[in-house]
Amino acid sequence: MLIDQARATDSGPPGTPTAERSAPPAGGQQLSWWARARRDKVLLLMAIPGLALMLAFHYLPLLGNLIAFQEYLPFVPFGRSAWVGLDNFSVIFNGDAEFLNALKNTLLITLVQVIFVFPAPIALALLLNSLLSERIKRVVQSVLYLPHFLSWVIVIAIFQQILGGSGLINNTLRARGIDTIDFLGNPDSFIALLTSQVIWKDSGWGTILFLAALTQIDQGLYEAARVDGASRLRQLWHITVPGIRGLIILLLILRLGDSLTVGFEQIILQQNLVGRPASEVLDTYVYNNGVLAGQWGVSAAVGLVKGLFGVALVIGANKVAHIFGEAGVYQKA
Amino acid sequence: MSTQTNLLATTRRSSTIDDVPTIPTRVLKGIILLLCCTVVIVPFIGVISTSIASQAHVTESGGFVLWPDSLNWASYRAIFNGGVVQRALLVSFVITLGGTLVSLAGSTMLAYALSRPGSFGQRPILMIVLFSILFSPGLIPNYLVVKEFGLLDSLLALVLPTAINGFNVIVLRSFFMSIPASVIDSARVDGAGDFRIFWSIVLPLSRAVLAVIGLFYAVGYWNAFFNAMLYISDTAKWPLQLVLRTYVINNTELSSGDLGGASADQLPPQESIQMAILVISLVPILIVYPFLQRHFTKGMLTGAVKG
Amino acid sequence: MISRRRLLGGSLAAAAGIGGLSGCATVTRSTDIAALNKPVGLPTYRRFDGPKPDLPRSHPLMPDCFYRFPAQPVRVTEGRPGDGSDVSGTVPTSNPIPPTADRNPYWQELNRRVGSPLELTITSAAGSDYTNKFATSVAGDTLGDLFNVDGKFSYLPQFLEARAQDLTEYLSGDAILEYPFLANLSTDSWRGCVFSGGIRAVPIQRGVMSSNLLLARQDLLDQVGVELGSPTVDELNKVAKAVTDGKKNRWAFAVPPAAALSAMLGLPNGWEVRDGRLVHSRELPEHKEMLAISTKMQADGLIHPDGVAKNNQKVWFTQGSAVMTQDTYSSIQSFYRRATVKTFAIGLPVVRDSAGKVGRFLLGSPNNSIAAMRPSSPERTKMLLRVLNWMAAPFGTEEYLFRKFGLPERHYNLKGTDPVLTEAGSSEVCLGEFPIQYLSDGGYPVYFPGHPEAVDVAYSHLRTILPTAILQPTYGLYSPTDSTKGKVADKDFDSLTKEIQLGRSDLSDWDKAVANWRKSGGDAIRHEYEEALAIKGNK
Repeated sequence: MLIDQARATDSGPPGTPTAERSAPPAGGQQLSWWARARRDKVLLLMAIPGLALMLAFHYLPLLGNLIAFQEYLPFVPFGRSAWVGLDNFSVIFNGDAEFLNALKNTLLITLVQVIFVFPAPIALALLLNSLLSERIKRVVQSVLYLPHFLSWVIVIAIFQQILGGSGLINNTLRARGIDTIDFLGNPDSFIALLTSQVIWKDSGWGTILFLAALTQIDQGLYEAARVDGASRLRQLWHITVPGIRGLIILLLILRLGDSLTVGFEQIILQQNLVGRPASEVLDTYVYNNGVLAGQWGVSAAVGLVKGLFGVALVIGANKVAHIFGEAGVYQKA
Repeated sequence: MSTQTNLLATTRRSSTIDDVPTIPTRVLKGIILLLCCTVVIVPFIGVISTSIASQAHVTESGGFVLWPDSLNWASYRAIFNGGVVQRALLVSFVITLGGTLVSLAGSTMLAYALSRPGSFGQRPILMIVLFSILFSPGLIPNYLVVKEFGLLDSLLALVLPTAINGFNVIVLRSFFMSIPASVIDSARVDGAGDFRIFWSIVLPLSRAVLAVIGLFYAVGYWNAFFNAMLYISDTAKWPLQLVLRTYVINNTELSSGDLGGASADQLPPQESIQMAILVISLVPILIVYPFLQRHFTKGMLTGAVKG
Repeated sequence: MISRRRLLGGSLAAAAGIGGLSGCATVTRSTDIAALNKPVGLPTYRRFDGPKPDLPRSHPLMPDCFYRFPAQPVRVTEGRPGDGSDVSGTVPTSNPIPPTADRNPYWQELNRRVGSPLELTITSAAGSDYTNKFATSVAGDTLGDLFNVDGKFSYLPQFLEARAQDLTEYLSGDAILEYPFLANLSTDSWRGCVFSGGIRAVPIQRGVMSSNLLLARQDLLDQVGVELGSPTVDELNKVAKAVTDGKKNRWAFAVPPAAALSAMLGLPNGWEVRDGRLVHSRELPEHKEMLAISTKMQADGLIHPDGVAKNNQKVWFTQGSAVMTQDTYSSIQSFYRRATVKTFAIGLPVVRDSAGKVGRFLLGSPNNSIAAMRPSSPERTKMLLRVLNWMAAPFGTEEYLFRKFGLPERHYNLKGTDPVLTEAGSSEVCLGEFPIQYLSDGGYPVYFPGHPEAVDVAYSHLRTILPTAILQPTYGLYSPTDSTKGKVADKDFDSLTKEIQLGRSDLSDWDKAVANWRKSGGDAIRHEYEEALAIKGNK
C-alpha cells in the first residue's frame, strides 16, 4: 500500500491531480445538495467555528474597504463620508513615472525573490534531511531558525554594524588605507542586499514546513529503492523531491498571490541609504504618497487592487499547476 | 502506533549503514552547514554581548559589541524593575497557550472539513479561506468590529481576530489530503464517523504538521503587539512584546524623533536594552522549540500505513 | 476637485450635527481659508511669579536657566483641582510604561493630589503606534476626556471642530488668568492651539529647547588644538578638515550641519515674505548654495560615512567618531549622561554669515504637541482645565517636584538640592516623564543637573542668538493643501537632498523638482498661506 507521493513518482496519468484520487465518500456527486449536506453534517459542524471567526473578524471588517471609494476621515462616520468614485485609485492608474518605477521595482524584487529566496529553505531542508546524525540535524536546524525572531529594525542594524560605511569591514579597510566598499548604499546591488537579508533571516525558519512534509514520505519507498540499488541522488530525485512537490507548488502559488507585496518595513528602513529611485516599491510608494497625507481611502484602494491582482495570479497559477498534473491550492471544479 | 514508529526508525537507521555518502560529499555538506551556522551565530553572540556590555564599551564600539569586556546586567535589571514586565510575561503565556489551542482546534477542524473530497460546500468555503489571504481589512474597520463585539480591553481581542489564518488552514488541508484514502476508508468501513476519523486517525498521523502549524500560531501570538496596542488600554493586560516595545524608542528611524524623551537615558544604553529585550523574548521560544522540533525532524508516521 | 471638497464639508457638517456634539456651532469647509484661519483673542500672558532663575532673562524667548533645583520648593496651589469624578485620557509615551495605578504609589498619590482618578490610555510613541492608536480611537470615539493630539493627523482643524471642546470662552484674553500656570505659557505656544477661530487645545510647550543647533565636542577640539570660535562657512570647513582623520575613524560632522549652514546663509524658516510675496526656502539660490556646500563636505569626507543616510548621530558624537553634530538644546543633558570620558564637554558655536554678523537662528515649533478635550458641560470643562493647570505648575515648585520626581525617599533622593530618581522612581514615575506631561506641562527650563558649566554654555549661546531668532512665519496658520500634499513634498525634497549629497543626483535636479512641486501643490500652498497671513496677520 503506497501513499500519494509514490504515485507521483511512477506512472500516474498526467493531468489528474493526485489529491483527487482519494475515493469520494460513498454516494459521490449524484446526491441532491440536501442529501449531501445531511451526509456531511458533521464536517460542516466542524467547519463552523473556524469559518465563523473568519467571517466575523476578517470579512466583516473587509466591508470597511468600501472607503476605497470614499474620502474617508476617521472623525466622520462611514455612512457620512463623501463618495468619490474612483478618485482614490488615481494614485495607481495615473501612470505617474514614479509609480511605474515602483511597480517595476516591486515585480523585479518579487522575481528575484521567487528565484533565490523561495528555494533556499527547500535546499536547506533537503540538506538537513540528508544528514545521518539526528543530533547534528536538530542542532543545526535550531541554530538556523533563530534569525527569524529578529525584527527588521535589528536585522538592518546588524547589517549596518558589519557592512556600513563605518561598519566593521569598512573601518578595517580604512585603517589599512584601502578604499572602502559601499555595500549598503549602492543602488545597483540593492536587490541583492534585500535578497540576502531575507535569506539570512528566514531560510532556517522556512525549513520546518518542508521538514514536516519530508516526515510524511513513506520510508518503505527508500528501502525499496535501495533494494533496487538506486543511488542516494536518484533517491533524492525520485522519492524525496516528488514527496514534497505538492507542498512546494502550493506555497509557490500562494507566494505569487502576494507578488505585489515585498517587505515594506525592510525597505522603508533602508530607503535613506540607497535612495528612492532604486528602493521605491508599491507599498512604500503608497505610504509616501497616500498614508503620509492621511488618505485612508487610498490605502484601501491599493489594498483592493493588490487583492484582485493576487486573485488573478492565484487562479492563473493554479490552472497552470493543473495542466502539469499538480493539485495546486484547490482542485478543478 | 508508537511502537511501530520506533520500529521504523530503527530499520531506517540500520539500513542506511551500507549506504553511507562519499567522503567529499560529507566534507562539502559539513562546510556548507558550518558556514551557515557561523553566519547566524556570530551576530547572535553580538546580540547577547551587547545586552550585557558596559555603557562605555557599547558607545566606543558604535552600538554593537561583538564580545563584552565585562558582565553588566543593568539592562536586564532596568527591564525587570517595577514588575511590569513580569506581569506581561504572564499575560503573554496565557494568550499564547490559549490562543494556540483555539487556533489549532478551529483550523484543523476547518481544514479537515475541507480535505474530504466532494464534501458539501467545500468549494465556496475553500475560496473564502483562500481569499482571506489575499485581502486584508483596514486598521479602522478592524477596530470598529472588535469594539462592536465588546472585546475592547479583553484578552479575547488578542486571540479571536487572528485565530484562523487562511494560509495555515490551506497548508493543513494539503497535509490532511495526503493521508492515504485507504486509511480513512478502512476506518469508515469499521463504522467510524467523520469526527472520530479526524480525532483518532487524521490528527495522530499529522503530528509533524500540527507541530509546525502550532509553532506558527504560537510564535504569531507570542510576537504580536499591534492588536494589543490598538485594543487594550489597560496596561496590566499588555503582552510582553508591547511592554518591551516601550523600552526602545529613540533608536528606530521610523519614529518621529522629538517626543521629549530626554531622560530616557537614565536607562542603560538603548542598544543594550534593545538586545536584552530580544534575549528575554527569545528565551521561552528556545525552551519550547526542541520539544516541537522532535516532531518534524524525524521520519515517523507512515509506518502505520504498512500492511 | 472643488465639488469633492464641498461634499466633504457638507458631510462634516452633517456628522457634527447628527453627533449632537457641543462646541461646534459652525463647521467650516476644508477649503475655506478665511474660516480655518479666523483669528481669536489669544490668552493673556502673565508670567507666574515662581522660583527665580539663576540667570537673568535677557529676551522674551529666553527659557529659565537654573544651575540646580531650587532648595525648599514652595507649594503654589491650594486644594485639589479635580472634583472626584474619573478623568480619562489618551497619551503617548517615549518611556517604559509605569506600573498600573493599583500597584503604583506614585500614581495613587497623583490621583489623590489631582482629586480625580486619572485613567490613562498609554501608547508607545515607537514607530507609528500612536498615529494608529489615535486614528482608531478617533474612529471609535474612545479618546476619553483629554487627549494628546497626534501631529500627523490630517484635517486637524476640522477634526478639532468636530470632536474637541472650544476653549475660547474659558481661555481667551484675561479669562485664562483663572488658570495661572496656563497663563504662564507663551503667546507663541497658544498661537499653535488656535483652529478655525477658536482655542481648541492647550500647548505642551518646549519653547526654544527643541530647536536644532550645531553642537561641538569642545574637549576633542582642544585635544586636536583647533579653535572653532564663532565660524563662518570657510572657517567651519577649515576646522572640519583639521579634525577629520579617516584612519582614526573620526569625522568632523555626524550629520550634514544644516542648521548651522542655514543660519550662515540667512535662509528663511520655511516660508518667508519677500517683496510682498511668500517664497519657500527651497526656491531660493541660497538654499541651493547650502546644498552645494554640504555636498562638498560629503565629497571631502568630512561627514561620517553613514551620516547622510542613517540616524545614529547621538552615539557617534558621544563616542567621538564625530566632533560636531546637530541636535537640540535639551539633548545636551542626555549627552552628558551618556558621556564615557571625564573630559567630555560640549561647545555651542555661534555661527556667522559671510559679512561676519551672527547668523539668523531658525526656531523649531514652540510646542512639542497639543492636547485637547472632549466637549462637555461648562462645569466639567472648568474642572478639566484646573487639572491641566495643575499639571503645568512651573519648574522649581513643590507641585513640579512631585509631578516629575514623585515622593522623597521612595522615588527620589536629593543630591545637593537636585532630585535623583531611585530605582522605584524610574519605574513608577516613568523616568521623571510620567505621561501626563503630554496632556499639559510647564515650560522647559535650561537645567542640566550636575553640569552647571553646560548651563552657562547654553545661556551664552541663547543670549547671542535669540535676538536674531525667527519662528516659521506660517506657524499657527493652516493650509489644507500643505497639511496633505505638503508632507509628501517635504519627504520628497528630503530624499532628493540626500541623493544630491551622496552624489547620486545632480544639483540641477533640484530646480526640476522645485518646478514640479510648484505645479503639483507648492503654488496652491503659497496662495493659501498668503490668504491666511492676510487674515491673521502674524508679526
